[in-house]
Amino acid sequence: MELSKLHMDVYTGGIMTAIGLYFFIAACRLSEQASVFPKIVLGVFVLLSLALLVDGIIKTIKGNKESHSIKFEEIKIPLITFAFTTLYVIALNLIGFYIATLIFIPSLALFYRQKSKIIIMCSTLGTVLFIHFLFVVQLKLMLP
Amino acid sequence: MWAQIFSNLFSIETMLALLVGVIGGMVIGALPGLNATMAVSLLLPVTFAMEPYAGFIMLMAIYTSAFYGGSISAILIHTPGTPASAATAADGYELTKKGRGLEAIGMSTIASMFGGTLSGIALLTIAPALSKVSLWFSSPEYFLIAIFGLTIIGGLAGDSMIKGFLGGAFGLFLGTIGMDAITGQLRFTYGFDSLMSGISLVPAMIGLFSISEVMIQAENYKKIINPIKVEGTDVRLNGKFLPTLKEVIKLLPNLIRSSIIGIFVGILPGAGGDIGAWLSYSEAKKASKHPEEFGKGSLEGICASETGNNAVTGGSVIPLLTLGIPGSAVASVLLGGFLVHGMVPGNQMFTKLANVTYTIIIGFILANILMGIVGILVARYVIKVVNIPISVLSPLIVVLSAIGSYAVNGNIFDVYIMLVFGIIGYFMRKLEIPSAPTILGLLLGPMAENGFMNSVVMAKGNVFAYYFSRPICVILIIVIAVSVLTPIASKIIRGRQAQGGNA
Repeated sequence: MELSKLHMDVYTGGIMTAIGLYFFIAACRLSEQASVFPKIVLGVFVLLSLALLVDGIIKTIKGNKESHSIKFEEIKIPLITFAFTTLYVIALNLIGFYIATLIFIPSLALFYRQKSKIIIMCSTLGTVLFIHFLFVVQLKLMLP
Repeated sequence: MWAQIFSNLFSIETMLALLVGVIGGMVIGALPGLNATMAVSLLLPVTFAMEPYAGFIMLMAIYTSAFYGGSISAILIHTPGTPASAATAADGYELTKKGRGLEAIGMSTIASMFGGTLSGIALLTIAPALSKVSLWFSSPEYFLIAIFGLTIIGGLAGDSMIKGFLGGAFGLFLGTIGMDAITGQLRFTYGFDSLMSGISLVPAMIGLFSISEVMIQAENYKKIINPIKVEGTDVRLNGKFLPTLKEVIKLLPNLIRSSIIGIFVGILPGAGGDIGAWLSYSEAKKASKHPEEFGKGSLEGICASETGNNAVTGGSVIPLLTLGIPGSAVASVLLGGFLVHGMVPGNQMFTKLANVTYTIIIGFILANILMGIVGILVARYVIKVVNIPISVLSPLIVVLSAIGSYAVNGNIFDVYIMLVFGIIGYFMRKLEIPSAPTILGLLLGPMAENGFMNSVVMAKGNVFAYYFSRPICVILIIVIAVSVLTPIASKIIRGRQAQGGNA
């Protein structure tokens, strides 16, 4: 059977089973009392993952294509957006909110090909001022 | 008590919260892709420095107004702002094409206000009585209540029950991370001290609902880089707006029936605004003298679906305030908010915390009335917001999410939690695993574990026999079994009907 023809649920069930088993084994290393509830929950999690795996196999055999596989092209831009977000969070910690935000918003807007410099400038300054007013002035929060 | 409640209600902070909630909710609801769950989780940190009643009034105003805002884009541009407005889209857009868009919005305004207000009155009258039920509960019952909440929301969320339950079990597992309350042993913290007290709820919710939404929106990159101005937003809306008193009286049975359906659907955990709207729509069609007009521009249809979806909002808060079982994804986020504010749902909400609770409920009723008034004034202009480009919205949501997560404890680790849950939430959505049961599992996990472990001690031996010796536990076990088996049975019946139809 070609891997590309497998229903998405086969992969999901397989990965979930592996994750569940990993944490179940980790739970077994805990003291008896502390591990009771995690073991029950992870046991149910593994059983449900196996059920999803079997369901996916049945769907593959029946030729059910209702759930398409995830293609890299489809998730490429969301992952780049996530990378932008991760860099922003790291920058928050290193250079602080104001500089990080003044760099982040125009960068992501330009990546999304926002052409209007006025819109970029207004949305950046507007966001920084809004957050400063709301969190620093009103909520007395020390921003990173 | 009532003097205190009215003083709370008519404070400047509460009035501002009401106005921000109503307008903010309408705008967010009108924006396709953004929804009340995201908005409420994003603004939850803002409530930390507010009086709890003002904060929750703002969040509940967003909840109800988002459903109404969703109907505006559904009617004018055939794009439901929220799934709950899908039933409105068909009839509303048909009326817009006939030049009666403003009349459709007027009907939606009255219907949303009526449904929401009636659901608030139901909340005010039913919840205090129902909260007394929680007094009969002890540890075993609380464990079963948590399981019941998860089975029903897992069973109804999405197309696959297995995935719904899987999401719930994942949430329960996440709830075990941190220090074990009984033994003090650290579980699954992997050396991160910040995880000792468990996963922070608010950053997890913001990640699952807001960051994942930004990533989902990013999939439409071609649309983002080549934005097309949405047709219908520049149309000058003229003509009749509000229905006449005679028309409203004629629609009264429809309004009342749809409100009751919406409130009932709201009380059922897991059944959200979309189910309330479609059920009300279908019942209105059955009762109508002109069922042939439904789907072709029926004001009765808009009236039913909009009353139904707004009535769900108050209904879904009833089990939340009384038993701690949220009736919808937004209610799950609200539950997280209550817990963060140190307010544990149950009878104490109507005794010890009565001042705050009643202020929130009456504030919710006022929010629905204000929504109608604001709707009459600005609804025709709200549609302009659908032209705000994603290239502006997405960075704004990311920044608000990050700072909102940071604001919870003033700890950058929480922002990393948001990031992790953002990517988890995105892939869960791609794999069609619903996120609402996960959040509910995370919220109810500690309650379920404490309930279970205490009942093991209380049982002094055979746990199963102990559970079956308690009448409320037996009722709850039957209810759980029904909630698990009903979707399976209805799926089998639908499958057989489909086979019969094909034969």
